[in-house]
Amino acid sequence: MTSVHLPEPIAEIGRQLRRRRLVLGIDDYDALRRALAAGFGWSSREELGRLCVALWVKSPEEAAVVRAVVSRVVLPTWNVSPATGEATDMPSANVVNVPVPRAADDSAEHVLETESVHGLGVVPLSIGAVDRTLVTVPQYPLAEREIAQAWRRLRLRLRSGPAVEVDAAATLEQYGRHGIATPPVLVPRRRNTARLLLLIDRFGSMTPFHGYVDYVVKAIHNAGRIDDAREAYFHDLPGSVANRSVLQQVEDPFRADLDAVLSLIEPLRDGSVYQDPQLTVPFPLATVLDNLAEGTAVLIVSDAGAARRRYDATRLLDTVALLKALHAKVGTVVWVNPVQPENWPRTTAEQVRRYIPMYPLTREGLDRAIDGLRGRPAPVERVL
Amino acid sequence: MSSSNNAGAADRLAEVRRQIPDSVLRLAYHAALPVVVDPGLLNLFRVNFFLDPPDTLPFEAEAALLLSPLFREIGDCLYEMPPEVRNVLLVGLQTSYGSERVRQVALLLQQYSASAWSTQPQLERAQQLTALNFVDSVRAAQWLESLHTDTEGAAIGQEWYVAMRHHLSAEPQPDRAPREVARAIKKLRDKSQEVRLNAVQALAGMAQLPGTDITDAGEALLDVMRYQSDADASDVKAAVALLRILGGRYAAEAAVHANRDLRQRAMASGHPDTPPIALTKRGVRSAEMGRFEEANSYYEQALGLFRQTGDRHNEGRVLTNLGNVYVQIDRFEDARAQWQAALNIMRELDDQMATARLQQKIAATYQSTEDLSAALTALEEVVAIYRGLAESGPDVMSDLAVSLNDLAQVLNSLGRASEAVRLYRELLPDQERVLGPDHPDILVTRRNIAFWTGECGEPAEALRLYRELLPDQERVRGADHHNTLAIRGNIACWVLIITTRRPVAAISKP
Repeated sequence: MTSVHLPEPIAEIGRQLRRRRLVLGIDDYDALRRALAAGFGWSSREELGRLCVALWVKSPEEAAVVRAVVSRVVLPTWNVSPATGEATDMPSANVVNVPVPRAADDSAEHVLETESVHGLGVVPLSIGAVDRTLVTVPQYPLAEREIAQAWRRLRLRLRSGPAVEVDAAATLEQYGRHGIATPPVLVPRRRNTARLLLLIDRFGSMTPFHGYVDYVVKAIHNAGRIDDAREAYFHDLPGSVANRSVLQQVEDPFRADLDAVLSLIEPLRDGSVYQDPQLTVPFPLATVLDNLAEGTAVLIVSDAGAARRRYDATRLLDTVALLKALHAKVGTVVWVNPVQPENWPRTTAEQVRRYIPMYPLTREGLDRAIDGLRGRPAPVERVL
Repeated sequence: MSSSNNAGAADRLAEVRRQIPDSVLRLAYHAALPVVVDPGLLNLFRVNFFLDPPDTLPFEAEAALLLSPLFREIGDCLYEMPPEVRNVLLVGLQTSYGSERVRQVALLLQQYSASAWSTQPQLERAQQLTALNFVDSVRAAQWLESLHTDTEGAAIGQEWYVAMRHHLSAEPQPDRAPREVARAIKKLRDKSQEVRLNAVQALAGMAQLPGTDITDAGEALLDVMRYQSDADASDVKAAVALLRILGGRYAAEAAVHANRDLRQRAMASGHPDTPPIALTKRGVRSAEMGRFEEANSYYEQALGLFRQTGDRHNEGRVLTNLGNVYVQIDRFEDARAQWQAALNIMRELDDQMATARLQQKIAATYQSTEDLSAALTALEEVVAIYRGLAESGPDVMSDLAVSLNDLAQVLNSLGRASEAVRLYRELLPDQERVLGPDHPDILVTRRNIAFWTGECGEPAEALRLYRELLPDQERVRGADHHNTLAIRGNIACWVLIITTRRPVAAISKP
């Protein structure tokens, strides 16, 4: 097998896109090769950008990223040669043979590329330039596609709704039994009837993660194909345990865990969660708990004090009380922490994870969290 | 800019650098340009400038930065940086990345503002005006003036106009650090104390920028310290603090100056111990009485004072004591953190004995948490240090033997007992040379050699070594010494093992 070397600018475009979570395959490169060989994309950098967008992207966000990356890569000086009309292998050198003459030269590509913007008023407030190399699309550790793939595994497929799908086996069996032509047997479609409740911590130390968490929630809704996925928001915790005296019964003041008093902690019912991420529409925690249907998977998204590297015994107490209340209603409760595990030690998170499976908000973490939500047992140090 | 603000910048940056790596601080250079940032804008700074080599940062860097002491959350998911810190970081942006990057950051801010804050016109305009000011300050001022006559000006409001005028007038046009340093050095020789103080604090802020060298200011700072009669003068205090940061002979001179001053005050007040030493002694007493929280409190106070005076040696000692307290209450990781900090200081001061002792303590915490490879690395360094100092006397030789015992245990746990035998054999001639042929420690080493030889699966050789050792042991320590009796027991066990082929595990340990 012979190896094919990509021209450096194309390879660099591929590398930069990969770092921006847009991974090109062989087919993508081949499509570009054929298009270039056919004479497209040579007239200017913008033209090449448009070609790449046309060939590679699936969303406006990806298009913005591709355009910016093509704008920032150093392109070679093109050598013009007559067009052959046939696709050829990509040359490996920085000098590229061009099949058709190009309309304009863009030799000053490496400098900031700007275009005039005319503002209104006496003196325009705008700087009067835009930089095409700048990306204005946020980027998070996981691509939407990865989140969707992970969440599609949370399935409980049952037939429900109107009978619209032909049951071929039952239809044949009915025909065989009666010996005459009968109408086809119809059954409802299979739907993902899994139920998911996302309890999401907002503001405070979670503020830097809002964009990422919102992006994950949106991806779950867009592509997770879960019939009943809903969110409830809170700040730090939905409520607090009224009886703080439990903490005074921990004999060793230097111990961070609450193992010795676990049985004394009552499930948390008093408190509020919110319907919206801005925490403006409250409703009682008790209502959420009472409406939790059997089999609902509960996913808590919170840093549990890890973002600020803090340990707070009262927060741990309240968390344990909340977990007890959730466990009383549903079997599967899993915690996802947007802070990386190396920052969990010596924080409340380190203690919380002793009582509930806790995973980082990474691809592997999400996979393991979904395994837990599907009922796969995950060991914890102390069962509540 | 006021001097107190400058002082805040240096302290805050120093605190931030203890919490986040310098690579993340470079992201902060970019975040310093806007009036305020939100997580979305910070994400775009990282995506645009820190995804490709050589500057790459993970997503976690964004939260680490926003939650660091550099920023204050002001509501609506907005984060504000203190102006004095912002000014220093902008110098960092200009120095590290140049004017073109400043322009790119301004352009990105302009593009982002139009979409992110379109419902908050005052904020949107403030950000756009700030961006314009960094690219074209004349046009920014013109726009602000033209707002007076514009209908939009009435909509945005007079208060906003006044605030932005003030903001723009205070907005620095960041220059590269060497030029800023040269300017500050010149001001250190000014007659006005306030100007000098401002200059010292500006230098202190820039000293916190990674890669910025302010050593050129060292001599001028020493002059400020030496020639001011009032040691309490704010510029002198600030100069002393900055000299400590400069390190080397500058730090040494600053420490001498500060200690002399502290001791004079202590003598004048009738207390021969300086306050931090008195506090340390109280801490030791509390720890001895089992009052660990109280001991911690005393040590923390002493630590603060030693840090103030730049007494690194005593700072290291107090950190060691703090670690000792944590071990008493089974908080091994906390103990290790304190000892590690002390270790860094002792290494910096080239105090090899203290370094070895701290490494030995740290190794013990690794052993207690069964992190054997970390324990091995630490103990190998300990043994190497003691070996290097072995000629200095019997005490070091004894420390070396004890550290070898620890190392042998770890090697054995890793299945490398034969290396322990080799290490003890290498120790023996050194011990004989330094301690003399009949020293009890030599008998212990020989017994260890015999023991680990047996552990390596060589029972006959182990038995031979024990038998060789016994007469010397009886001669030096007597026939009834407990070690002599133990060696007799070892010989009996090995004879039993060899004759009956019982498993080696049956043998008693020395």
